[in-house]
This record gives sequence, structure tokens and C-alpha cells, in this order.
Amino acid sequence: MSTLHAPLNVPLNAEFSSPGEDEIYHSVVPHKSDQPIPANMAVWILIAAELTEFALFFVIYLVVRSHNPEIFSQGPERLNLLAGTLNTLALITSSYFVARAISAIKMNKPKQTVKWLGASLLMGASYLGIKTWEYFWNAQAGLDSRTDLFYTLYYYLTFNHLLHVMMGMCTLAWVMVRAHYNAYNKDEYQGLESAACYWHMIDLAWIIIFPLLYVLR
Amino acid sequence: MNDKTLTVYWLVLITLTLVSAIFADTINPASWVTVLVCMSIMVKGQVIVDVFMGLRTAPKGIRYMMLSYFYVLPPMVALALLFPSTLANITTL
Repeated sequence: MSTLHAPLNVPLNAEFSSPGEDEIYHSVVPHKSDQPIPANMAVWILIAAELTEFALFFVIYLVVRSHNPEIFSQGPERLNLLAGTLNTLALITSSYFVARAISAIKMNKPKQTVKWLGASLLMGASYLGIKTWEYFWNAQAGLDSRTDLFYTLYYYLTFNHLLHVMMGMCTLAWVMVRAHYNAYNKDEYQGLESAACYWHMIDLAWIIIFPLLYVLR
Repeated sequence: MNDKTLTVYWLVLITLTLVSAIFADTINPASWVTVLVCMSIMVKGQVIVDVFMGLRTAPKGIRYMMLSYFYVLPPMVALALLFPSTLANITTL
């Protein structure tokens, strides 16, 4: 059995200087723009919708802030910066673990994929734990969603994001179970990639929320 | 993207996050801090989109859609924080 991957109608000694060289070359090696869409189109539409929703929140935050500079310059000072930083580290690390899970399945290593997805879920759970601690910490300091406009937006943004994290964790848990039962391999991992892209989107939203609420005063 | 490259970019993201946190904790608010933090958001966004999501070799439409988010929002945040009165004037009914 021959292992050559050239099309049957291409002579093995053909030089790529003939008039149809591009067609012949790209029938063997896909061009960058011929690469298939990662995951599937439905997931990208969902991701675009979710990011648009977050973008609208960011615009609202900036407009309200511009009208209430005093409240918004003091707000971040009273937040728990350690909790915000730890949450950022947890989400970035979980995104890295998901990227490793995809890398493992591309190498046809489903057991490694399950391991990386499990680690990512652990980071997601850490995020939930830290966020719960932060909310209790706020409550003990007498801060809630009605304290002032900054805290109303802070709770709205962070709780909305928290719900997305929980939804993303459910999705990751589902693909982890499927990976455990060998539903994915190096040729078929679209479902896994869809869950991974959604999880990365959650991370992308947080890397704007963190500086906006905790860092920039 | 091999695993070693993924790990290097993960460390870059961790470093940028820690630097932002240190800025927030130790340095008084200043224009250059705002610009620097917004630039770090752009870099982090680009790394996650291109490296973790693997869109560097994806069809241009999806890649540009994702990257445009991080080329538009962080500069917008910086402008809004640097010129709050202008934004307040524009958005006053």
C-alpha cells in the first residue's frame, strides 16, 4: 500500500512550475484560508452574541462612570484586589488547560484530554470558590449591590460573568464525560473544540472585567 | 501550536496579570498606567484568540471578528478614562 498523498492524476515527478501549480499544490497542502472553521458556526454566532452583550455592559459602565467620577474612583479601592487577581489567574490557567486538552486530542490522546479537562474544571471550581469568598468579604464590609452605582454595576457584571462560568463548566464536564468514553479522536473533536472556544470566550470577557473594575481607578 | 509554546504564552499571561495587580496596589492612578493596562488587555486578548483558541490559521473572518474586539474596546476604555468629561458631555441628554 502506497503512503503517498499526492492526487492520483498528478505525476510523481511533476514540478510545481507548470501553469496550474497553485491548484496542484493546494490539493495536497491546504492553503491558510482553506482551513476549516474551528468548532462550528453556531458556536461562533453564540460567542459573538455573548461578547456583544459584555461590550454593551462595558460601554454602560464607562458612560455611568463618566457621569459619577467621585463614586467610581473610590469604588475599586474598596474591592478585594487579591480575590480579583486570583480569579484572573484561575481563569487564565483553566484556559491554558483547555488548550492543552485540545492539543492532546489532536495527538489522539483521549486520556490526556480527560486529565486536562478535569484540571480545567478544578480551576473553574476555584473561581467559584474565590468569587463566593469575595462576595462574603464584601457583605462583611457592608458592601452590596445597593451601596452605590459602582457596586450595582460591579455586582451586575461579575454575577452575570459568574453565571457564564457555571454554564461553561457544565459544558466542559459534558465533553469530559464524552472524552472519557472515547467520543473524540484526532479526526473528530468538533464538540470538544466548541466547548473549548466557549470557555475561552468566558476568559476573554474576564480579562476586560478585571482591569475595568479592580485595576483602573 | 506545540505544548511548550502554549506554556510560554500561559506564563506571559500570568505575568501581565500580576503586573496589572501590582500597578493597582502600589501606583497612584496616572494616565500612563491606564494606557499601559489597556495595552496589556490587547496583548492578552490577542494571545488567547491566536494561541489558546488557535485562530491564527483560521479563516480570516472569524479571527478578525475576535481580534477587533480587543483592538476596539481597550482603546475605547483608555479614552473614556482619560477624557471622562468629554464622554459625559457627549452622553448628556
